[in-house]
Amino acid sequence: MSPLLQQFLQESREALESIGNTLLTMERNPGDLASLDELFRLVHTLKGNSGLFDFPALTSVLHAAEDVMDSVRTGALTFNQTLADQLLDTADYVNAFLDEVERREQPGDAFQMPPQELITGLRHWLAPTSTPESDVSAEDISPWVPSLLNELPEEVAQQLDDALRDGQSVYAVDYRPASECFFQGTDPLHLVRQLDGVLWRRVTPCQPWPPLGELDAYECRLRFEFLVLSSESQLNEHFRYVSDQVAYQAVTSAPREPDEKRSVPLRTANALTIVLTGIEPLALDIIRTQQAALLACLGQPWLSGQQAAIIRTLRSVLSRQASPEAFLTLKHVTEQAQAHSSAEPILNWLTEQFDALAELKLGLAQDKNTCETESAALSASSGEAQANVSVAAPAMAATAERPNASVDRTATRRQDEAVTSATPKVLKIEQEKIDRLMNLIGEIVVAKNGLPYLAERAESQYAQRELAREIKAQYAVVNRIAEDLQDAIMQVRMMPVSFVLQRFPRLVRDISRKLGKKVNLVLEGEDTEADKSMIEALADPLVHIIRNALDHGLELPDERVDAGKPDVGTLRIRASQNADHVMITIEDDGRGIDPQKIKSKVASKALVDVASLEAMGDQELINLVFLPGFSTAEQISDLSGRGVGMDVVRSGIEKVGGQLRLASQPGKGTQLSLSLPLSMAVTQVMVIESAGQRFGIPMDQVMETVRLPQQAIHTIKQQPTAQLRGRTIPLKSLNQLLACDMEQLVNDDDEYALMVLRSRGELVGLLIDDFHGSNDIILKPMVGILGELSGYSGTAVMGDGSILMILNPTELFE
Amino acid sequence: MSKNIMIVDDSATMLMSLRSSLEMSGFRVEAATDGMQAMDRLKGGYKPDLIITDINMPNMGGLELIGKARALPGMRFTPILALTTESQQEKRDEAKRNGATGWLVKPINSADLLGVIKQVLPGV
Repeated sequence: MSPLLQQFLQESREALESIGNTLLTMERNPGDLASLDELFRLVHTLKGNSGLFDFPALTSVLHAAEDVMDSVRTGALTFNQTLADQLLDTADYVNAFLDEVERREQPGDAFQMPPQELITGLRHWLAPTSTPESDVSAEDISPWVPSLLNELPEEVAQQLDDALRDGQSVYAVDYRPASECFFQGTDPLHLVRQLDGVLWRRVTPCQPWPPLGELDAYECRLRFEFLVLSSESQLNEHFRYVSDQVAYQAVTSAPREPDEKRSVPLRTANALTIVLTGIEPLALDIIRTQQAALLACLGQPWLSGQQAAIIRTLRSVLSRQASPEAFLTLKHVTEQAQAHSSAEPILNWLTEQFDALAELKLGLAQDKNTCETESAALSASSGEAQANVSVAAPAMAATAERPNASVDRTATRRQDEAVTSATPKVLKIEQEKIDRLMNLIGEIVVAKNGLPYLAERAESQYAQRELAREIKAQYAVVNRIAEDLQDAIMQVRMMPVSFVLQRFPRLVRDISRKLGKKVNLVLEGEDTEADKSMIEALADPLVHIIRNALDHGLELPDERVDAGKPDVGTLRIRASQNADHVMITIEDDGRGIDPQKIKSKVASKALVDVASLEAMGDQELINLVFLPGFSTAEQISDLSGRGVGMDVVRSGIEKVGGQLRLASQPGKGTQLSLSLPLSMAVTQVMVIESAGQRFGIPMDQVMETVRLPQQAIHTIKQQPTAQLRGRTIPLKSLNQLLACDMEQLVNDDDEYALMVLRSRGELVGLLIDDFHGSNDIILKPMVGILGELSGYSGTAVMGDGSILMILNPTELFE
Repeated sequence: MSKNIMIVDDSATMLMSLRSSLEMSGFRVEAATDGMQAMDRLKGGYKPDLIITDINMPNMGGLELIGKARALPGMRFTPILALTTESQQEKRDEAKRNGATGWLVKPINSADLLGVIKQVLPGV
C-alpha cells in the first residue's frame, strides 16, 4: 500500500470518529456553531482527500454531504434529526468503503457505483442550485474588435485569415490588470506570456503616463490586447484569477482579403503542444536518466541493486503520470527482467516506449524555434509604435534545461520527508513495534529471574557465599531497571478507556431509537487508562452488555412512568482505576432482573437440575444468566439476539484475566461490574505443587493460603467444605480436577495446603500439595492442539529455563 | 536556484500529496498544518516564493492567513494560492479580497499544479 493511501486511511478514520462525535454533540445542541464549523471542515477535508485517489463513489457521496453541511452552515438549512441520521449513515458508508480499501487497496465491485440512495437522500435537502453564469463575456466589446482588426499588421491578418478558414477559434482579448494587481502577487506580463497560440499582441498604457515625479512604480497602468488561437473555456481557465479584468470576444472574420501564404509550422507546433502538455516533460527527463543509468551499469556486479532502484523510480514516476497501461507493461517487463536476471527487457521497453515520444518532442522543439523566429520577425516588421512582445514558448525549453542530477535526490528525499514532516507533534508507532519491545522486555524480566537461582547455586553448590551476595546485589540493580523499563513501555501502551467508550453514544442512540426507548447515557471516568490490548478486548463484551441493558433492562417510556420513574432511563458507564485493576461499571435504572423469572426460565430449559435450582439464593439465580444457552428475551430481537449470550461476554472478559459481577434489584435496576487487570503482559503467579508437578496460579485470583487440618473438612450435600472465618467454602482437590489418580499430600502436622481463590465472585478452596513463592511471568497462551485445552491459561518460561503451566482455576472449576 | 513553496493544510494526506508533486518538480517545500503555524514560520524570517494554503483549518484558517501574510513586509508581492473546492466560489472571492493571487481547485493533479505554479511564479 502506498504511504499516501495509508496516510489517507489513517486520517480518514480519525476524521470519521470526530464526525460521529460532533454529530452527537450537534444533536444535543443544534445551535452549536463551533461544532457545525468543525463538522463542515472534517467533511470538507475528507472529500478533498478522497479526490486524490480514484474513488468516484466515495467522492460523490462526500460531495453531497459537504454541500448539505455547507447549507446548514450558511443557515439555508436547519440541522435536524433526520439529517443527522443520514449523515451518520454516510459516515457508516465511508467507513465500510475505507475497510474495503484497506483490505484490497482499491474498491471492489460493490463500491464502484456511488450509493445513489444515500446521495439522493442528502441532495434532497438542497434547494435546486442555479449554475452561476459566467460574467466574463457579458461585457460588450464588439466596437473594439473591428478597430483592433484594422490595426493588425498585414502578416498577422493573413495568419488570422488562415486560422479562420481552418475553422479554428480565434479570440480578441483585452486584459486591463487592476492597478493594485502587484499587491496580490499577480504578474500580468508573466500571465500573458504564458498564453499559448498568440497571433499578435500589444501593450499600451491605459492612461497617459503622469510626470515622472508623480509616477507610482507599484501601480499597474498597462493594457494588454491580443489575438489568440484558443477557446473560450481555455481563456476562462487561463484568466480565472483575473476574470473581472479581462474581456474577450470571438473573431469571426478577417479584415482584409486573404492571402494564399500560410504559416503551417506555427499551427503544427501549437497542435503538438496540446497533445504533449498531458505529459510532464520532467517525467520524461527522469525516465531518460534512468535509462542512461541502466545502460551504464550493464554487466556490473551491482546491476541487480541498481536495477531495483531504477524500477522503483520508474514506478513512482509513472504512477504520477496517469498512464495505467504503461504501469502494467512496466510490471510485466520487470518480472521478465527478474526471471532472466538481465536488464535487457527493461531497456528494450524503455526504448520502445519513450524514444518515439522523445523524437516527437525534439521535432516539436525545432518547430517551435522556427515559429519563434517567424513571429519575432513578424513583430519586428509590424513597425508599430506600441511595445510589441514576442511570442515565447518557454515551457518545453525551460524544463529541458533543468539539471537531471537534482531530480534523483529530491525523489528519494521526498519519501523520507513526506511521512515525518506532516505529523510533528505525536509520534505514531505501529503496534507491532511496541509489541516487539514489550516481548523483549518480558524476556528481560524473565531472564533476570534467573539470577537468584544462580546466586543460590553459587552458594550451595560451589560454596561461594561472597559471590552469591554480589550476584544478588547485581540482581537488585537489574531488577530495578527492568521494572522501570517495563513500567515505561506499559505507559506507552496505555490509552484512555474513552477509546472504546466514545463509540457508545452513537450505539446507545441508534439502539434506543430503534426500540422506542428514551435513554440518557452518562459516561464517567473516560480518561482512566489501561493497556491497549485490554481496552481492545473490552470493546465487544461492552457492546453486548449495553445492548442487553437497553433491550432487556430499560423499560419503554410508558412503563417507566407507570412504575413511577422518569420516562427517560439512565445508562451509566463508569470507569475507574482501583490499584492494579480497571473497574468498569455499567448501571441502568431499568426493571432489574427477577430471580424467579430466571429460575423458571432455567428450569424450562433444563439447564440446571431442579434440586440445585431450589437450593439457590437470589444472587446465585441471577448469576445463571451467564449460563451458556440462556436468554430471557421472550422473542429474539435483532439487537441483543445476535446469537451471543452473556456466557460469551463472561468468557471474553475472563480470557483477558478479568472478572465480572452482576447485581440487580428488581424494579430498580441492574449493575454489572467488570474488573480488568491494567495490563495482561506481565502476570504475577503463585507457584504451587501438586502430584509432583509445579503449576502457576494467577495471583489476582488468590485470596489467601492456609494450612487446613484434615479433620476440618466436612461433607455437605456430597461436597467437601470447610469453615473459614465464618464462611463455608466448597473445597476441590487439584489432583482430582486434573484427573491425577493421587491423594493430596498433607504435611507432618496432617494439614492440607489450601488456597482460597476467587472465581466468578465466589470463594472456592483448592487443595494442593504445597505452596512456593510468587513470580513475575510472561504468560504465553498455548497454541495449536494445546490451545483447545481448558483449565490452563498458558505457559511461562521460568528463570531456570523450565516451563511452568499456568492454571485457569475458573475453567478448572466448571 | 530551486524555488521555495510553503504549503499549509490541516490534512496530512493533502500535505503529503502536494509535497510529493512539488518536490518531484524540483521545488523546496515547507509544510505547516494551520495558519498559526504558517504565520510563525513567516514571522521567523522564512520567505517562500509561493504560498499554497487550504481555507478551512483549525486555529487560523486560510483567509485569515492570507490577510496576515500579505501584511508582512517581505510578502507584499508573493503569490498566494488558496486551495478550494469547486463549490466554494464565495470563498475564492473572499480570498482574493484578502490578497490571494488565485486559487487551486482540489483535487489537483501534478500536471495541473505545475501549470498553475508556472502561471503565477515567474522564472519557473
